Parts: sequence; C-alpha cells; structure tokens
Amino acid sequence: MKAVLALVVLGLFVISGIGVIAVTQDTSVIVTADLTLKPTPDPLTFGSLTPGSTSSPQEVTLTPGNSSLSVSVNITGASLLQSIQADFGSGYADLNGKGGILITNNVPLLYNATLAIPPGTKQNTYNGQIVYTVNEAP
Amino acid sequence: MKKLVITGIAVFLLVIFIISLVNANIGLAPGKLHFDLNPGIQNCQNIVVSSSDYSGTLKVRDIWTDKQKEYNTNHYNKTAAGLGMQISYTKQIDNFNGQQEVEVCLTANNLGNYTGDLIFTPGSDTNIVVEVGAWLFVNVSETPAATESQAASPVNEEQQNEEANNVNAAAETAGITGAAVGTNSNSTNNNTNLIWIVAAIVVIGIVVLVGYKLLKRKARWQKYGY
Repeated sequence: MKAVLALVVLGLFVISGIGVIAVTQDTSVIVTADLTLKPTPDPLTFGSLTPGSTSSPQEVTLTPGNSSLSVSVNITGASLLQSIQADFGSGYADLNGKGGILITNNVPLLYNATLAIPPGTKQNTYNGQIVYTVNEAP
Repeated sequence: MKKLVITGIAVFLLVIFIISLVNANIGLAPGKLHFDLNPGIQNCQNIVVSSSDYSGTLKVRDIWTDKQKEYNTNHYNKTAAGLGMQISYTKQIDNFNGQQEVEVCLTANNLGNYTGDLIFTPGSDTNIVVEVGAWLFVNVSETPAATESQAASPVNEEQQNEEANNVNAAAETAGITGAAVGTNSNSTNNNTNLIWIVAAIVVIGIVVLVGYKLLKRKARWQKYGY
C-alpha cells in the first residue's frame, strides 16, 4: 500500500515537473547605444573681439543620453576658429583634433572655450562649425 | 493683415525647420560591426539608422586606422583602399525619415586588424554639428576557422541576434530598447536534461519498488510457503 502511494506521489511529481517545463518562457534583450549628445549653447558665439584680444571663457556643456560615449572634436570653416582653446579640467589645449573624450552616461561634461584673435586679423565675421563625432564608448 | 499672418506662419515654419536641424538625435543599431574576413571574400552586414526628430539628408563616410584601440577618430587618417579593402555602402541618404537600413559590404586583401568608423552626418544650420559613428572592427586572416568561429562563438551569435533584431532595436530611437526573441538553445538543453533526470528517478523508483515486492514475496514464501 505504501509503495503504491509512493508511486502515485512520484507520478504526480513527474507530471507537475513536465507541466513546469512546458510553460518555460525564454527571454532576452538587445540593448543598443544611445548616441544622444546635446552641446549647449548652440550656436557658440564669442561676440565682438579686437585683434590681439582673447575672449572671455565660454562655458560649453555636452549632455549625453543614457549611454557612455566616446567623442572626437573637429572644427571646420574659418581657420581662425580652429585655434579655439578648451579646458576640460586639465588646462587649455586645442579643441580642434581633440578626441577620445569619454562622457559617462547621464553626466554632463563641461568645458570652457576661449578664442584668441591674432594681431592684424582683418575685420570680418568668421564662421565655422564644431563637429562632434559620437561613438559608443569602447 | 493677411500678409502679416502669412509672414507669421512662414517664420513659424522656418523656426520649426531650424529646430529640426539642431541637435538631431540619430541612433545606430548596432553601434559596432565586427568583420572576420578571409582575403578576397566579401562580407556584408546591416546597420539601422533611426531618428525621431531628424529628417532630411544624411551623408555617410568611412575613416580608418591600422592602430589597435585608437578611439580618437581625428587620428583615423587612412582610407579603406589604402589598407587594401573595398567597402561599399550608400554614400548619401536622401529624404531620410524615421529609419533606414544601410548595408555595409567589405572585402579585404591584406592580413591584419583594422579599425574604422562609419559616420553619419546630418545637415545643420548652426555652427555645431553632432554626427554619429559605428565602429568597424576588421580582422583579416587566412584561417578558414575565421568564418566558422564567427558562426560558433557566443559573441557572434549575439551579433547575429542583434542583426536579426535590428529593426526592433532601432524602432525606438531613445536608445535603450528591448525586444523579445525566439527560443534560447541553452534553455532547451536544460529542459532536456531535466526530462532525463526525472525519467531516471522514475526508472530507479520502479526498480526499487519491484525489487522490494520480490524480496517481500520471497520472504513470505520461505516463511509461510505461499
């Protein structure tokens, strides 16, 4: 009698076990990079400057989205603007050509930018573009 | 009065147009492509470009370096041809709106490892442009295993899943997206193992039960003779 009871319990266990297996649900997720980067102010202006003077520092904020980013900067347009200096916290250096800037997700990165106008520069309005090339962080 | 209204509407539309060009949010899925190539054999993969707030022209270009772990794209001063590769893709996407799939085909002749960046540049009316890039990691080797390992390795299996789900992944441009996919083979194996374990328990149980019954019957036979 005990043996029969044990067999019945075993059978129920097997049936319930198979039942659990039958409703197994597999799941997975693909996470893609959020390449959002919002530089402000846009446009970045240095105002009116005279030859031989240097602009006051302009604070630029690079706001990423939900992914960490690797950013490279390139300046196109008027050659005068290619000498923009930027301080990311370790002193001023050329902004043009700076690369491998790592920005942590959801943490805005600030830098100060200045522009020096060489003596003898002709009076004119000079325009260029700061190009941020954004990739997902390695 | 009518002229004023028309001018107002025109200015409003112009402002909307300019806003649409400023800080466009463009997503790429996947953000990097791995090409394991044999010399002279072409391999093609897809990237889905998507955006919820930008429509218009997208220019596409590729830049290269032969250095490893170089992530400053300003140092990418080589061309695909210069590294012995032929790359093909749509150089300009006109009337981009929503999302579009771009096929990238690559053939390499020289053995080695190369890193590239496939860059998508939107139009901009301001002096700031944000362009997005997808890393291109290329490994060229003569071993036939290069292609086989691509199919076998878990990493590449993941990539294949990514590619298969590119459309889902790119449909939501906010960035982190999800998509449920089909059967996971590891899980199936686990289920099969479970069935075998349960079956083994049942068989052992039956054997023990039958053995116990036989022993009991034998003992009764010896004691009572029936």
